[in-house]
Amino acid sequence: MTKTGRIHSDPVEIRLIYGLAIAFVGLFLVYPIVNLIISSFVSVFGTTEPLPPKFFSYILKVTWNTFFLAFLTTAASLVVSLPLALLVTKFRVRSAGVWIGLLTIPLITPAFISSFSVIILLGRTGVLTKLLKLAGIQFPQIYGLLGLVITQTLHTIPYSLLVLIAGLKTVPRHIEEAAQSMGAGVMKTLTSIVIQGIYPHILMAGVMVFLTSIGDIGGPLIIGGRYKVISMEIYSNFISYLGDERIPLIFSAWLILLSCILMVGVNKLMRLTNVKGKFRVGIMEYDKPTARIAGTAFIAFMSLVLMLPYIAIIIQSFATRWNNSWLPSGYTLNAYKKLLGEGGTILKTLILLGTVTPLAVFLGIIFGQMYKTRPRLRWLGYITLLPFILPGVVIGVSMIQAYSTVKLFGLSLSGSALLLIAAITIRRLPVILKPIEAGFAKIDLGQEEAAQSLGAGELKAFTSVIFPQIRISVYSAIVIGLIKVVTELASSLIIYPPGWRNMSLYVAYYVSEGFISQASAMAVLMIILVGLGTALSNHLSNKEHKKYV
Amino acid sequence: MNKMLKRLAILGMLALVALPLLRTASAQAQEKELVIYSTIFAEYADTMKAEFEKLNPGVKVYVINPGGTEAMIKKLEAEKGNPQADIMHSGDTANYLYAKKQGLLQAFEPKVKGFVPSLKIGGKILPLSDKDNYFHVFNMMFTGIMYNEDLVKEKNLPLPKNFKDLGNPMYKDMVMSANPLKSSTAVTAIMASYQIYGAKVWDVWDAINKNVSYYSNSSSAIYTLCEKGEFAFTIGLSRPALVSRKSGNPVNFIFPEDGAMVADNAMGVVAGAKHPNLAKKFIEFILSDQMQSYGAQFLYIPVKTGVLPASDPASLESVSSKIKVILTPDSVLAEKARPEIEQKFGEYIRLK
Repeated sequence: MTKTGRIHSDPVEIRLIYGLAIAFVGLFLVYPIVNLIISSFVSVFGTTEPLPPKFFSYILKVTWNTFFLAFLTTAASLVVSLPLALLVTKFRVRSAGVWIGLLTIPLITPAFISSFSVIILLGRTGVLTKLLKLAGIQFPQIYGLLGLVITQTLHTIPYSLLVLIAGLKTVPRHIEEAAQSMGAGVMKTLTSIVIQGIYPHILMAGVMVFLTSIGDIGGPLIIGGRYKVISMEIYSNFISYLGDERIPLIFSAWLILLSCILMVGVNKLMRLTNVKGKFRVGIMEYDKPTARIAGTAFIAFMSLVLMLPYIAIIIQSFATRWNNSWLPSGYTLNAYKKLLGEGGTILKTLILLGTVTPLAVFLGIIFGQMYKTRPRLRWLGYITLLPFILPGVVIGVSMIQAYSTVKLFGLSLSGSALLLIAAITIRRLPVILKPIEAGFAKIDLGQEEAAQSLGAGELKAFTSVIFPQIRISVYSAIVIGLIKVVTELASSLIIYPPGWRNMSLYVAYYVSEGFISQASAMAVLMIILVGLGTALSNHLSNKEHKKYV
Repeated sequence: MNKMLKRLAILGMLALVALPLLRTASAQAQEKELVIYSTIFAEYADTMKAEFEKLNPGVKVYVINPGGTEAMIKKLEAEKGNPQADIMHSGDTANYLYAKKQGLLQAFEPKVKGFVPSLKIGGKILPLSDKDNYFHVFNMMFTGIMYNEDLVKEKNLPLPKNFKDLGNPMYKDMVMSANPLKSSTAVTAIMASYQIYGAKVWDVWDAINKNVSYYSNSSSAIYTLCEKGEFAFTIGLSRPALVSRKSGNPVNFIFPEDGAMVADNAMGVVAGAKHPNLAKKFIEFILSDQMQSYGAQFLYIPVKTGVLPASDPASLESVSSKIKVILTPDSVLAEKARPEIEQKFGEYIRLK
């Protein structure tokens, strides 16, 4: 195998596969964004008008806010997720699948509605705020950094949890067995061997949470108050025709530059912490009854705490009104009755899940393999990462602008669901690619080379030798993909063609109209739908895992 | 190839094959569907869709809300070469003036009994149709102050009478407003103060700004958060506040004594619309007595006189009787004030 990254020396089928994947990203990400930037650049920088006063100190302040928030969210998310992931994978806590399922719920819930649920609990008149007041504690104002850290941490815990669990499942049991046989205690083994063995996954989880925080719009829109972050500044200035058109462009370029610097650092760290595994790993579990009981109690408690906003969403979905009181003033099934007429909305969501998820996972596997085996093509990683940090609305508008007049097989790209599918695939590619990359990070390329030296082609070597080892990471990617596809909103809002309103758009529509109960009911249905998909994927993943134990 | 990869491939292929069967769009029969971009209140949107489909059997209406009037315009601009929408619906006339200037609309003069190109209101003339017939106003509301009765009582706060009163330091962190750099609703409210206070408008706003907790980028959240008692006062429009009150929430609305501005809702046919005949029919349908009355059920004030009895709470006569000074939009002044608003609120928001 070549490690030079020269595509022209690769077999035809590999060149074709890589070429198609790169073309997809080129057509639906690079071209629209470049086109948008060029057209905007010409119109807005043709002016001699000065930028608003103190603009550069403002940009620095917003940048500091953004990174400080992302740092706090990442730290909080990892601090909570790591012990939970260890309990689930290493200590056989009771009903582990139930806790994982519950802890995945925040990821499924659109940020708009979770922000409102945090307000219901911790707002000025929130249920928990009242409770704390009774205990003599005045909970601080939620609108701003505090509210954002709480909402984003809630939202990102499932990211880190899923990636860390996938990492822990790849730590080979014989290493831990060796440590134990040499007299190391459980804690020592976990801290010295296991946690170090999953550094790539910890870093990957950290990067995903960090970038999710940077790109979040739902939280800042509802609960951000006066705390300004870059994503919101791009969004609000881009969408407005009253604001200065140069501001979103400057912020976008600045954000892309900062993220690239961040990614260079992360990639270096990833290489330093890269631990290669052996083919067909089994994982070590510790049979410690006391730790198991304490762990089950801890994870149950944490799940309850983290679930409170989502319990609030369920209650809200049955509420007639819920303002400034412990519980709603009345209950009704009206919101759910209305959902009965939304079969089309649910069907469209399922179609998007069924098209976008496999497409994005395929692309994720292709780019993951490409970055692993072709170091010279790794710079493409900065491009495939872009949709993580660029506001979805910018991606949506750029795609419409680029393709509104284009037809494919007689179908107008923007008038059919094709552009919508391409947009959601592009937007969700980074979150699907990252866990797959973490899986690839632990692969020893020598295995693939050995297979090829025995006569297998690269494709055959990949499907027979490499893919089985990254399968668990691919399951994680599918779960994350299902969830992130169903909750995609910002690009869909701009792109969705007539008749293609999906569940996420439905929730956003009713939240924006102030019908929180109606939006909550659909959010509950989304949680059930994706919960079923997640359970199925976990079931398949566990079956897969058992093969190797 | 591996089983899992095969499953993924089969699933993806099946879904792609199913796509054309489920296509909705442009290739279908002409003038059998109507695409409306609208940010109107959800229940009104549902009624408008159902009623138009009932009156035009076989026609399918799609109402798309891209997430606010500004987002709607952004989408229309991006689609300019091949518009998906036939109608641009809702949002005030300032947005339509901009859309007209950008070439997003086409002229159409509706022939509807009782609909006139202008309306006399509070001694002033409110244009209902663009002079070139690119857009038409179909209902209206007023700017003012929404307040949460429970919170005001709990904090023992006196009610502001005038817009200027919101600058009283006792309301520190109790006031909400939408971000005027993003929300045309907020701009309408600011234009009201601009008309009232003239050169002194920024003294008034400097004081109010100190009490504004933050300028929300979500125009709708300002009503929901006031409804929930998170903030005592919201600078906004009468209809959402009064609808919230009607559904039992402890909120009410103040028409400021120093002046309440008409916030109109307009509509127009999109330039290059694929279903122009249906689009024109729709404009006339929205201006019909039937839809004017339906709108009133959601507290939109009709633009046609005589549709409602004067005693109806949503009639212009009834609402205007509660207002001391009625202000009407002044597009020339709005255009002149735009850079000032941009600069001043840019500073307020950046420095907050």
